Amino acid sequence: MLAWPDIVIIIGYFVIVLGLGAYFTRDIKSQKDFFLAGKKMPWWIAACSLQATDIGTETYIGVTGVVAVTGLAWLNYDWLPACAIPCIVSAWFFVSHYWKTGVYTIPEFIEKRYNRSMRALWAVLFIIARTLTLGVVIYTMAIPLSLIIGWPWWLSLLMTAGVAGMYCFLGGLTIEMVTDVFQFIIMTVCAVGLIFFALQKVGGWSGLHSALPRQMFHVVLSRAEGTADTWWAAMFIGTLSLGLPYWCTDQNTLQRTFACRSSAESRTALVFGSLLKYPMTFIWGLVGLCVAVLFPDIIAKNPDNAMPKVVTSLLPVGATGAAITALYAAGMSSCDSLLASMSAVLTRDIYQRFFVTNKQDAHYVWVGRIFVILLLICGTLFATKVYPLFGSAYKAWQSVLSYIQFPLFASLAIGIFHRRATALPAFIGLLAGSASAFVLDRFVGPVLTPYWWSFVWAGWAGGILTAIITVGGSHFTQPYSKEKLKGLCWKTTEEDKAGKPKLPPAGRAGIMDWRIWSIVSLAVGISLTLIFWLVL
Amino acid sequence: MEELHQAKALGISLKAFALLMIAVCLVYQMVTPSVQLADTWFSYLVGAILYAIGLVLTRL
Repeated sequence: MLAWPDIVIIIGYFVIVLGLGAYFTRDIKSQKDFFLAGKKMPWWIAACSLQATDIGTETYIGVTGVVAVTGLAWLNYDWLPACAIPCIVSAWFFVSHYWKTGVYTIPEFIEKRYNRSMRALWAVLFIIARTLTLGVVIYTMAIPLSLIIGWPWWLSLLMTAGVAGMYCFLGGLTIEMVTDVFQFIIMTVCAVGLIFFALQKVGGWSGLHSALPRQMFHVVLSRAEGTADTWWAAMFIGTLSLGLPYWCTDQNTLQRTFACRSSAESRTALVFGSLLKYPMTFIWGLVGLCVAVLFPDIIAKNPDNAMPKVVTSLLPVGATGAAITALYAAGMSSCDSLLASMSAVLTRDIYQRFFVTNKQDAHYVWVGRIFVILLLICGTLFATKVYPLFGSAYKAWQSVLSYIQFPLFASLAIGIFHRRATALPAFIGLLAGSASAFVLDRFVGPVLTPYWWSFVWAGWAGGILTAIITVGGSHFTQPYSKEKLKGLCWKTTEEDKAGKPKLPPAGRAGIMDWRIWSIVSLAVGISLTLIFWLVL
Repeated sequence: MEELHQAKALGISLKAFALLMIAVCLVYQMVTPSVQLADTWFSYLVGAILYAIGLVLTRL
């Protein structure tokens, strides 16, 4: 059980977050305010919000545990290949097209580029996938934390999901992004504190380095040193099949960038955000290594218990409460982004597009709010009723999702870079690519090459097949007019052809230029990779 | 203007959380004789850092 000061701090945090939500309710007057925060967000809020969304409770608990077992190589999932490079690709090649068309959601863009059927397919796939994800986020947020604090699971669930749902209901994306920054700051400060205590216990960096095998510090492993999922090719090529869809085409992520004041700021937010990710995940990885030295018995039993053990045993009273608040914050920031993106897709791509078309904005804002509540109920039911019974089935479903993600990315990327691409081949290519990825991962790859096979290769295969079918098949269909494709495809506007992207206002160009931040992010990523490969 | 508005709200929230943290630890230390400053200094430090960040945000 926690000491009472820690519990007071956790409850105080919930009250402050709700107060922020209530404060920003007054700003909500239209769909733009509710779903896109009025397009008034500065880049630094969007950058923190993007990363807070990406770092969930399962990341904190999972990364610490998995690094304690396999070493720092796992950090590639959050460093160069699966975060920085996709963020840079998104900023340079994708975001400007979304901005030019002024869309609220990715399915809206899909309809403009292809047709209504493709939009419906994307929206439905997104909602199904994310409802299940929401259930798992709620589950991983409430259940393990109830074990740490000693509250009944239903109270923990009510506090976290209830508070997240309440402020989403009140303030929409504005409050979600502002609370994300609040949560991000608390997470960062607590993480730094945690590593201070953990390193002190193991005798500092030198003590840690001498206590563990050298390969635990390496982020580039040969196949003999690592596993099929952690060796260098799987990490540096394979994980692109996860990172590119997540950062370039996922509504859950990109909605934050749509809320910025300009295309330039949204690009900066993406690239600057990737820089924030390096220290955040490195700290948790380092905690994982310390845990491998301090609590080897816990790692042997269940690596996921490493993080709770560190928080409750290393930190003093008060800081423990703040660290647990940070864990709640991580879960709530992931939960609120799911609620925001799903309610936007349900309202705009399903309800407004197919059912009730000509109503006032206020009507759709209330529909969005009702969807937030309904989604929360569905997610909670999944977390409490379905997940405990079919947890393994969900894991299988998650694998199936990974087969869908890269083909989805491929169909959208081909849509942007190949003007000749049309809807029917893209539709068929998407279904064929996903199905082939499934067959390959389940029945072919593990049988033919068990030593080398990883599910990331299935995503690649599915995406390549989608691209081939879309490009090849489109040549047998009627092409779209140049007018329809304007702004939707690469170099279809005068600004694109001139090769001069719109720059931020003079005076702030330096700090807001995504091209400079791209170089910095790449340089940091490459340096870290080389240091944790050749030096340590 | 809008950015200032958001930053100020954020800064005030952070300051409130930091003050809550410091106050709770102070009361805990006062009512629990076995707890010394050596046990709680880190919590005060975290509170102070959060307060400083909040202060910067409110003055942006």
